[in-house]
Amino acid sequence: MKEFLRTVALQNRRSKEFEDAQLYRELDQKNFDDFEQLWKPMLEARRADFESWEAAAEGDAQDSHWHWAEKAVDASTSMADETYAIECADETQGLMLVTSAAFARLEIQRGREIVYIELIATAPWNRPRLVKKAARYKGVGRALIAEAINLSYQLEFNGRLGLHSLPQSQSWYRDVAQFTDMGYDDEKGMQYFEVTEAQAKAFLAND
Amino acid sequence: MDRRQMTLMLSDKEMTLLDRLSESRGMSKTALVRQALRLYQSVTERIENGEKVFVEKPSTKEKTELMVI
Repeated sequence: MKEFLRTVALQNRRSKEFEDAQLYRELDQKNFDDFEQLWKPMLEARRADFESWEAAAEGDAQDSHWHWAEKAVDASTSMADETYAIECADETQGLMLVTSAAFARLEIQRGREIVYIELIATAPWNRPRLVKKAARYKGVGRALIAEAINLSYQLEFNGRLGLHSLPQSQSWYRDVAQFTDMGYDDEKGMQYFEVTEAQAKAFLAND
Repeated sequence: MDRRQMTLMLSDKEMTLLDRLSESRGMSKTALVRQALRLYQSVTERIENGEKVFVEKPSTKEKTELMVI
């Protein structure tokens, strides 16, 4: 059942003011409807501007095919999986799916338990590359990742985290979040990043 | 999140293993048992759905299929 966790602050890119947003564990019909009726048409329209999935990175629309409702229903029956949503201005601003049935690859924590982010996305209207200057809210991804780190602490994984990144997000994970870039993962076809206990602490301290 | 309590009776051998894993993983026994449940569900459901779970030796790339019986 959908559960309110806490209020988080998102920055309105237009007014520069911070606005209260609600962070929830588990998605509900409102989130599925927002994805299908609000997100998907924008993502598919932008995706159609590009010939290939790789090229769609330029328009920040590579996730147009993600099936959030299906993933969320599967996750609700699994002890290892959790879904999260951020809502603000009565619309779903971000979605995330994580699993705790995963292990670290980075040498200093190899084989230790991690929270692995399977899917993470901010609403298409929040993406500067997709809507240019009209982008609305900043901070959705950071708030969701902070929650994944919080879950890692709750499970006694000490903040350890892993994720694969779409091309357009790699520089943020590497240069802004300061996560460890472990290179290209042939099996997933994406860059793999891992977060150490020290990096998790630093990320939350800057939150 | 709702919590329910149960008493778990373990043999000496099982408790020794739980102590050792708790120490080596840096987790409390409760967190460790919860994680074991999550992993067990994850593995068994994949197998029940017809998927195969493998363990691979990094040196030789030799794969062993994990069976749950």
